Formats: sequence, structure tokens, C-alpha cells
Amino acid sequence: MNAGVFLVTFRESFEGFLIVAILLSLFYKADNRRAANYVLAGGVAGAIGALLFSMIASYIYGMFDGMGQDILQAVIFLLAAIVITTVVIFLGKARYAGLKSTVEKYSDSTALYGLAVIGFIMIFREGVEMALFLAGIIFQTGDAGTTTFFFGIGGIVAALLLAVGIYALGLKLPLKLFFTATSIFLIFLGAGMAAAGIGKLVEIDLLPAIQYEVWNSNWLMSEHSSIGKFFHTLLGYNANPTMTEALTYGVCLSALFYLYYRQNRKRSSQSAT
Amino acid sequence: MFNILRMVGAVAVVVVIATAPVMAETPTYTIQIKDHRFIPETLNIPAGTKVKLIIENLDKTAEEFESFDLNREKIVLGGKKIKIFLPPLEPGEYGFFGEFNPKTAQGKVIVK
Repeated sequence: MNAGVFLVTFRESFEGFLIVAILLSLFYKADNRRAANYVLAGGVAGAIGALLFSMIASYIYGMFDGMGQDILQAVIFLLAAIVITTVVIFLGKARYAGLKSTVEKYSDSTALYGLAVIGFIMIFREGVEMALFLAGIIFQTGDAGTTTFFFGIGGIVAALLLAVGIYALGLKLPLKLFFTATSIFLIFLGAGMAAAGIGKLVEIDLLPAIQYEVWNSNWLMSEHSSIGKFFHTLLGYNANPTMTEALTYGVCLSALFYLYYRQNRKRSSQSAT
Repeated sequence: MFNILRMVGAVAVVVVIATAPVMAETPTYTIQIKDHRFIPETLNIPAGTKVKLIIENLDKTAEEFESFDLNREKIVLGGKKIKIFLPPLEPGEYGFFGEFNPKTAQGKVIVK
């Protein structure tokens, strides 16, 4: 029981921490403390927001004829996709305007707020689930529940420590490599978020699926295994998507890659003239 | 950015169109959660048709209905109900479980 609880909180909270850790690492490395602070502030606000939200969850989830939970998740995913897009465009510009100087001095408020929103969403999303889960544990078993509760908290702390380790590792990587890796990771993340948001709307029958289960690669890599979960979080891997989700993913992935790399073309055409 | 905005717009239009017609009568099945177990633990549903599941949580604590096979994941708060739409399925067994109490909360949908 206790080990199981530890694993649940560890696994779930690590997803959020990982993304925040990567972004923090990138911006600290580029000496852009302002951007890093926005990410961090967003993350902290997300944790507090999740605690507050879990108290009013029953009201929100009951909205839209009991579909409040799905609608809320769809909105969060789609908002995340849009915000990630603004950050990808910024990174695309930074890439060709001289990496360090731009990332360092960049203070476009849209991208900064975008970073704060990403931090918020990543922590909030998993945080709500954690809060409801841990509240249930405290509620149900009295003294034994208290021990279990601390195992749950332990899982979150362990995930946080691992994220700090990844943050430290990020600081050691060469900036250019790390910058490119982060950008590409965000492109996949953005496409994954868009597909997940649209997927939620398909789930509640608001959007057509076109075709259920275009493929099923659960035999190869279940998205719920540890490695699959990792790919699911980072790249938006879905082992059995609907056609609508697969198309959304494909279109958004192409659009984001285009938005990121088009800065290159603009620049080279300018220098040619 | 405009590509994205245009896409969001297109999605909004599709949402409106898709929700406009009244949905046909969907077969509905109820699963209860009590003492962190599903009742019934095995549910038979027909193949090839959309189905609506109602998950009713009789416990005081929240549970998360989760199924890898069905690709569904949704929280049911204590004392609340949720609805889950299932697409037309091929015959077979589809497992589900309660993520917050996976030791006891296990069940499966059998599609015939």
C-alpha cells in the first residue's frame, strides 16, 4: 500500500517537475533570470492553485452536465498548446539573433507570461490529481492513513529531487545543444498538448473521432509503462490514438516546426539581398 | 501564430456543428464504486455501438477511473457520478481500474 502510494505520487508529480526543471535550467544557463523567475513563479502558483482548486473541484467538475472535468482539461491542454507556440516562436527568433544575447536580454512580455503559464499548467495539472488523491488517503484511514500520507508526500519530494538533478545536468550541457534540445522538446510537447486537448473533446463526443484507434502500439510500448509514460509526457506519445488526435498531432507538429525554423529562412533571405 | 489561431477557429466551428444535432439514444450502463471496488467488476456490453458508462462513487474518497485499453482517465469525486462515452468496440476484454486504489479496484468490460 505505502510503496504503491509512493509510486503513484512520484510518477505523477515528476511529469510536471521535469518540464519546469528543463525550462529553468535553460534560462539560468543563459543568464536570463527574469525568464527563469517567471517559470518558477508560474510553477509555485500552479501548486497553490491546485490545492485551492481541489477544494472546489466538485463544483467545477459538476458543470456542463457532469462534463466539467473534461472541458476543463481540454481548455488547459489547448491553452498550453497555444502558450507553448508563443514560446517556440520566441526560441526560433532567439536562435538566429545570437543565442545567448537574445535569451539573456529577451524581455518580451508575451513570451515571459507564456513561460509563467507553462509553469503554472504543468504543476497545476498533476497537482490537482495529487491533492485529491492525498486528501482521500488522509480521509479514509486515520492513523494508518497518516503514515500512508507521508509516503505520498515522499513520492512528491523524490520526484522533486530527481527534477533538481535533471536541472543540474542541464546546466552542464553546452548551451547550444541544450537550447536546440529544449526547443524540439517543446515542439513535441505543444503538439502533444493540442492532440490531448482535442482528444478530450472527442472523448465526450463533442468532436468526431473520424476513426477510433488508427493504430495500437501498446504491444510495442504501452504509454503507461515507465518508459512509455516518459515518451507520453515529453513527446505526446499515444499508443492508440483516434484519427482526430493523430491528425491534430501531425498538423500541430508540422506547424510548430515551421514556426521555429522559418526564422532561419527570413534571415538568410534578408542577408541575400 | 496565425496558423494556430485559424486552427483554433476551425476547431470551434467543428465543435458547434458536432454538438448541434441531438444525440441518438445511447445504451447506458452504471458501475458503482464501493469500498474501493467496482460493482459489477465485469460488465457486458454490445459490440460495434457507442455506449455510455455512468460511474457512481459511493465512497467518500475520490477515485480515478482509468483504462489503458479504453484510453480513458477520469476522476470521480467521493459521492459523485461521472459519465464516460465509449466508442463502438471490437469484441474482446477491456480492463479498467481505479488508479487511487489499484489493489482492490479492478474490473473489465466484456464486449460481445
